[in-house]
Amino acid sequence: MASEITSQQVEDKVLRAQIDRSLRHPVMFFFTSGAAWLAISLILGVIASAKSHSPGFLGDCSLLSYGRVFQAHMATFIYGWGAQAAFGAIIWLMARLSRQESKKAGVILAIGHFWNFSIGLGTLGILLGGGTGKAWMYFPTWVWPVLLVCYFGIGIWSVIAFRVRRGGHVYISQWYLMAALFWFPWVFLSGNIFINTFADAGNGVMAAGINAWFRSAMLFLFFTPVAIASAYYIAPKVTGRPVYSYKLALLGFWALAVIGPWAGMQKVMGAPIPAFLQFVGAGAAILFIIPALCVALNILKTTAGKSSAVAHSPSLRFTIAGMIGLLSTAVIGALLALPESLRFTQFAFGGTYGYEILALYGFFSMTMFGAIYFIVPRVTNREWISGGLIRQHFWLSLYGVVFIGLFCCVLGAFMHGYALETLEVPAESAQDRLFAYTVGVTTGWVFVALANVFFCIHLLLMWLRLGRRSSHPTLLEHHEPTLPAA
Amino acid sequence: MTVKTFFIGLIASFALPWLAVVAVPYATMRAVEIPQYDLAKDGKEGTYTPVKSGRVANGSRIYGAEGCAQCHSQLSRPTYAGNDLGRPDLAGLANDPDLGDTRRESNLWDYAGEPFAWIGETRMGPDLGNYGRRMELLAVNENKQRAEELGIKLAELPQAEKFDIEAAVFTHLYDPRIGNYKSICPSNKCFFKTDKVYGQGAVNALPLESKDGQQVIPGERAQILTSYLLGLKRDGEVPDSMNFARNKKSSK
Repeated sequence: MASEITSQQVEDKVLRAQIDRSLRHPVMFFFTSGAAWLAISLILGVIASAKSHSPGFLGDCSLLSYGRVFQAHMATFIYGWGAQAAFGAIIWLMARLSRQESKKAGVILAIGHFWNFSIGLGTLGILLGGGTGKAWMYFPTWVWPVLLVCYFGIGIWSVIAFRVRRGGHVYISQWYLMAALFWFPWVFLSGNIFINTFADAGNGVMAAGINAWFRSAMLFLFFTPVAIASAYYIAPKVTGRPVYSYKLALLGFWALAVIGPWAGMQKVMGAPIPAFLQFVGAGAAILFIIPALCVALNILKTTAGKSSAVAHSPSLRFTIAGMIGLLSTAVIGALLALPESLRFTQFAFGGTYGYEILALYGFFSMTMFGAIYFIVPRVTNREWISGGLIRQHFWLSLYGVVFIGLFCCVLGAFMHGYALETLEVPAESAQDRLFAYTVGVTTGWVFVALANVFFCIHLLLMWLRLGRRSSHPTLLEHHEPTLPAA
Repeated sequence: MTVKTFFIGLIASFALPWLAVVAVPYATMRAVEIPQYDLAKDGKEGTYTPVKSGRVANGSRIYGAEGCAQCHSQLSRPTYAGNDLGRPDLAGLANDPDLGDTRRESNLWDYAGEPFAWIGETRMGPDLGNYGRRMELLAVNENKQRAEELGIKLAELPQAEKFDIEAAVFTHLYDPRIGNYKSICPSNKCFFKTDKVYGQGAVNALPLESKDGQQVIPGERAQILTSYLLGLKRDGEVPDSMNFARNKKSSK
């Protein structure tokens, strides 16, 4: 009996090693190029933020005008970093959970290059004045069909892996991954067709409404499920425990599927489109608390009592921070979506940007960092070079996103919104109220950018297989071995 | 939960909201019936025709590409959504010399001709939905002041002394700090070309101090964007059926 178990374990280990080896290059390519785009995006974010309080910063170069740099900053964040981190996590998690090694790694890698090439040209297009200005669709209009084709080329293999999975069991993470793979093309295609392809045939105001829905759907129905899938994989793996509650996971998943697609149009509250669209959007954004609470509670309960694992394991620590980020995103999102708050924050600085940074960095990126710290040593067969670099990445990211997302953007939004909405306060004084917060955002971005430049270098060195050759993982806290008494 | 149930649930839970908030509203909003004037309430009959001027389509594209919507909104919200109607010059003009209070909510036809309505992300800069009207009022006030300074009637003010609205917008686009040192608006110097002054100089050269015999001339993009911005006058007369500011005077 014992030898049977052992042979099964050996077989599993061999299979896992084969899967990891088969996906080494596409996964490392997505993570490393994503991290490079994140560093670029954050540098652009620093420039844009600096220009929001000091317009003379870096002179009057048209390439670096505020409007263009801001678009490039967000576009590279979403499609350069966010989407690629998600692709890396999707293909690896799906292969591992389906117990199928990739036979098309070369194809995925080649398509990944096309994705990056398109992002590069699109970013250049924005900086040269060819952007669209439409939120989350900033690239010149020729870019989105290329991205969609690339997505199909990357995502289809994970769908096939799921279809031919071994064992037949479907894990919670796989629900979320399949849902993300299903939602992304529908949201991306329909959003772009309605807003860009048939722009002249439709109504401009409705196009703005659909754009608001699009960014919310991308967040709730693509980035969110990928991050949750990663959390549901990593928390049980690192703690060695099963997921706390299957029923809670089921409730969380279906709550997201049912609530998520309705949200978004609260952003155009007061615009001349049917009022029910605006209020349904606000209601759904508030109700997002339900799936967020189910997921965060389930993960936190799974890791409860394992504080030393959270303290030591980089992947678990980032994942837990991501779950706190998910809760913060849901609560702040609900507060911002209340119609009484929207009066103040709809057009206030940070009302939208702060929320999106909180969601994209505080929740999604933190969870993805957790996934990267878990996956990379497995696919490269090396351990992380420096625990110190991981620690500085964690703390600078955490302080940075709390400072930018909560303090500067959300608090700043209410301060700015108060000046805009209160008739006794002259509209001109609103700008004076902003200054401290915009300077704060710049300062926060400088630290986060610094952390992620080092993260990118760390990742690149790992891809070059310069990581530590050791059977002991790189942990965040050192413990001196206890020597037996002499 | 079987895989089949999972996919049926996934499709149903997404398709319903997608139809309800995206596809059907998109289709129905494409062909909203244009309101008609009512003889009893409006004093006239016929179809509501919003007045549009300027290079709307091209200007809107440049406005988007330059990221203007990041800091400027173009929306006068109804009172359930905000206090925009309470501001003296956001939703129209509280004291238009000829028409009185022209403030009103934005309507669907205010964005006619624009494939994408620039509702806006923030109000780090002022709302621009009625920028053209504000500039007209500014010109009236500036001209009055100039006529008083010269001791002549407004009607007698020479053309050369009149406030040039276009030049003011060009100057703002060239360097927003010229008129307002606190402005955080980005300058768009790439929209202009610097050229040597020949004779009296170009007619549309910016009224800036000449450096080394050079003049600054607005390029095509500056002209298109200026035309678009000055065309933003969204406080025109609307039929009674959609006029929610009932104390507003007729703007015939």
